[in-house]
Amino acid sequence: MRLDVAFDEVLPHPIEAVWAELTDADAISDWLMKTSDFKPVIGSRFRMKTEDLSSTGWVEAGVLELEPPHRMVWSWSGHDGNPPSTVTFDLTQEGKGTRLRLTHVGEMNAEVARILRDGWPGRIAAMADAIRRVGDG
Amino acid sequence: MARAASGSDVFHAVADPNRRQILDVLRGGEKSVGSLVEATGLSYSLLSQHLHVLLDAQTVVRRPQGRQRFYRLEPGPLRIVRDWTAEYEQFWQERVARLRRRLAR
Repeated sequence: MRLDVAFDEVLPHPIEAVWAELTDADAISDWLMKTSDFKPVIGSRFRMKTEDLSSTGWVEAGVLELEPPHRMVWSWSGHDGNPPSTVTFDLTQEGKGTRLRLTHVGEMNAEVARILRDGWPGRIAAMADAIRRVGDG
Repeated sequence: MARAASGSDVFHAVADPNRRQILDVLRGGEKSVGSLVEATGLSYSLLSQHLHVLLDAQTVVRRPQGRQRFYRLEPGPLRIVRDWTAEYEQFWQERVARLRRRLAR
């Protein structure tokens, strides 16, 4: 079982303008999540404040690849027991605009994935419903 | 409850084998802390820590009765982890929309 998200959008702005939004800490803080330590440098690590995406309140990320103004890859960890996932931004010029391809892929913790494959939550839900019905009756 | 449990909270809750064991025991119905200690073989303090994480993820519900506390399973949030991709899809959709609005300024 895996995480697999993909977006493909054309933005009516020059590639440099889009790249600047993706690689500036203040811009990222505004459109994505608050960060103070992002640097567009391969190997640098940074944190983003989140309500929902991390059990610690912080997504811990790192810059894995950087090819201005075309490609940036981040590692992404929400401290949720899963191995870090990968976010990729790919930019290509298209006329006067820019095509943004964004992917977020990751593998689920193998043990959790096994449980879900076995239908564990479904079985728990069925059990709880049965208990509730007995309680109501 | 300050907010709904997120996929991250639920993943974190079920990523630990001891917590999965607690959930498994609770599949059999509501249990007191004492019978959970007995069924899992965990120490009282360790069990308390794990129950705290499970409560935060809203996968269990606590019911005090007299001096005792009972726990039961709340399976709803466990379904979130099956919709992992959906959770992030919604997140990125919102964020890309914000990026669009910023660029348009």
